[in-house]
Amino acid sequence: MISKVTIKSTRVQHFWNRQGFVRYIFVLLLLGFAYRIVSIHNLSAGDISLQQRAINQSSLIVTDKARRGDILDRNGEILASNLMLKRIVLNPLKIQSEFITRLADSIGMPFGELETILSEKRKNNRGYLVIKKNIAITNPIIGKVEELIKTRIKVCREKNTEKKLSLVDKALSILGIKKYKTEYETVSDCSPEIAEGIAIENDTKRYYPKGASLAPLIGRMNHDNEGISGIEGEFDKVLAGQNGKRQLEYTNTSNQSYFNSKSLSDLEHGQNITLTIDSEIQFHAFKALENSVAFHEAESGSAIVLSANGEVLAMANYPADDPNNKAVYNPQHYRNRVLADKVEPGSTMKPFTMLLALDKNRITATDDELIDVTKRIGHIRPDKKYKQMTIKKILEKSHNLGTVNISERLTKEEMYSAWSALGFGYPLGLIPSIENSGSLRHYSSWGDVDKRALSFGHGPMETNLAQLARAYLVFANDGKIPSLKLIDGVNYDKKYINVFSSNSVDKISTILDSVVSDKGSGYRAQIDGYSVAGKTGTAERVINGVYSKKGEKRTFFVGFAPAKKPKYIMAVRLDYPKKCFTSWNPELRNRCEGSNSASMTFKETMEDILTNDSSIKLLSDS
Amino acid sequence: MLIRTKINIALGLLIIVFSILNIIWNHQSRILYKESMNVKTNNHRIISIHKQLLSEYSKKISGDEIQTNAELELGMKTPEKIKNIDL
Repeated sequence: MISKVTIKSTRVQHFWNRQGFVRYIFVLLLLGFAYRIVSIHNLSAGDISLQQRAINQSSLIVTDKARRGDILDRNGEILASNLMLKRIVLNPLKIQSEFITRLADSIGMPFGELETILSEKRKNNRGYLVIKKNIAITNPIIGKVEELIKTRIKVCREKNTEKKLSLVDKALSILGIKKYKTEYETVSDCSPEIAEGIAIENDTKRYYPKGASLAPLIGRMNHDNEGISGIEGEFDKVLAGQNGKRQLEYTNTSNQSYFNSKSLSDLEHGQNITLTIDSEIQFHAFKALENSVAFHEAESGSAIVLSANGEVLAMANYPADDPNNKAVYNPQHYRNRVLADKVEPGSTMKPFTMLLALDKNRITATDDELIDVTKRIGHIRPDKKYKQMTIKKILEKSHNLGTVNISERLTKEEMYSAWSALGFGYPLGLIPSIENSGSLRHYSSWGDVDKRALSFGHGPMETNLAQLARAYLVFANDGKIPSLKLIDGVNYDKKYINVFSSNSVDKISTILDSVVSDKGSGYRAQIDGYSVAGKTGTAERVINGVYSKKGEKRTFFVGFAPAKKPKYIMAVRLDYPKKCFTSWNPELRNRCEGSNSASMTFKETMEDILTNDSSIKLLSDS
Repeated sequence: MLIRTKINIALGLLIIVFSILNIIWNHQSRILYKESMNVKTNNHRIISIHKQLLSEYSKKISGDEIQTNAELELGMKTPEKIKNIDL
């Protein structure tokens, strides 16, 4: 018989309330999780959020270094270049001892020496050692080390392992019959391995093939590879370019990123800069200066050579250091005296006084025009040597009183206008950061003494050597002067400034030709077979605004060749030459002047330039 | 066969095909990447050799080097000027 079971449904008290409570708890939990999901992204872990930290860990920012541009001369010869070299880097903590003998062979270093260096580094726990640097890419060392890195050599490592038991002992141990204490032993584990801790890294080095001859002009770089002086400093941004930055989704053990890098900033290699400098002419000028400074025991020397259209062919300074030798650095030897020093140019200004007077019809500069030089003018006293002089004679003998006499026929305003038009007191804009543009005081503040002094290159004006050389360009351009140019491809002002008439320039040019003759003060600038013109100059050296009491002088020579239609204009300055000799007796000492010091430097340089230029005809040919 | 089964098979095959293609593309990408790295290394090498040669050339033809060679190796001397020749 089947018993009837009745299930009596009983009502659970507060069922809905309890169920609701649990439901709310779950909802709250879910909300809590949801909040956590969002908030965990922004949790800070130190200074940065976890999200940012995750991004940083999974990605890598790679910097592609920009190549610094080269500096070239007008013929494309390298004056400064970034050599792309290699260096060999070791990790002394990782490198296996089996590789050291072969490594020493590969890099050409005695084994003992390498071993000592490595053990020293290991002792100090150093993991980075540059063992060889500045290695040219063609150097066989690179090939040998590359091969060594790929080679597998049997490397033995000692390791502690559990001492092995015999099968019987093992069985007894498992059955619990005999108990063994775990014992360890040191065994040698040998297997072929590739080298660890040897790497070849890229290296760069700024190299100056022309050494010291261009150092003050080109300048140099600091340890951070930034240009600090000269062209390197002035055009650092152009030469340096811009490093590129890429973000890679990268892991250390793989190259998974492939082409997925995201460019953060574009890589721009530095641009090359081509100068108007001719290395050959530069070398001649530098060598001549070096010889002159040594011969005359001068403190320093500087020279500039220009072409007729105002291109700077050479800008030499001595003393100068070889910029490839990083161990030596004397800031004075990187001083570009041609642009940075403002000086009184002395008698080299006399031709301009004559040119102005001729232009204004105050003189005729003919042989029958005689200038009286017997009367004192201001503080300039007559000498007993001459009574009447022609303009030619005044320039040949560099006569101060004769020149002052001519300046008395000119007004202050006329002289100021001419000197301004010649560019004195105005910047040339070649290397603005180092250029000292000199000064030309306004004529309203001049006294008579100033005007007289100005006629022979003293008084209210100071100039740098480049400005002085530029003024002489009037002789190559029929009385006009162009702007100077140093960098090829830069838009310099193409306008020629008309200063003097072509007739006046022709006349004075002929006179300057005779200055460089046996009769003139520039007799030592004569070059056999070529017509050369120029003017000597000597100026007392000004130290802290006062003329030197020790009789220190600056000697000058500004000349050009050929005398008719000049192709080269050169200005030379020697500072404080102490040893000069007469021309007739090379052992007889004489006081130093432009005629027996700077003119010799000019001659030495110009002779080399002219003999190497086949386009210039010898006097006998013409 | 049910349409649903056919679609499932097709989708399964597509997944296999795309997986294989993905492996191939990934492999090609890696090879291309390696090749581009090789080209980059070679390019770097060529540029550095070019720069090295130009610099060496510039150094060789600088007056200093020529003068030293002429004097030391070739035994040349600066000519001395004779002003007067006695006949």
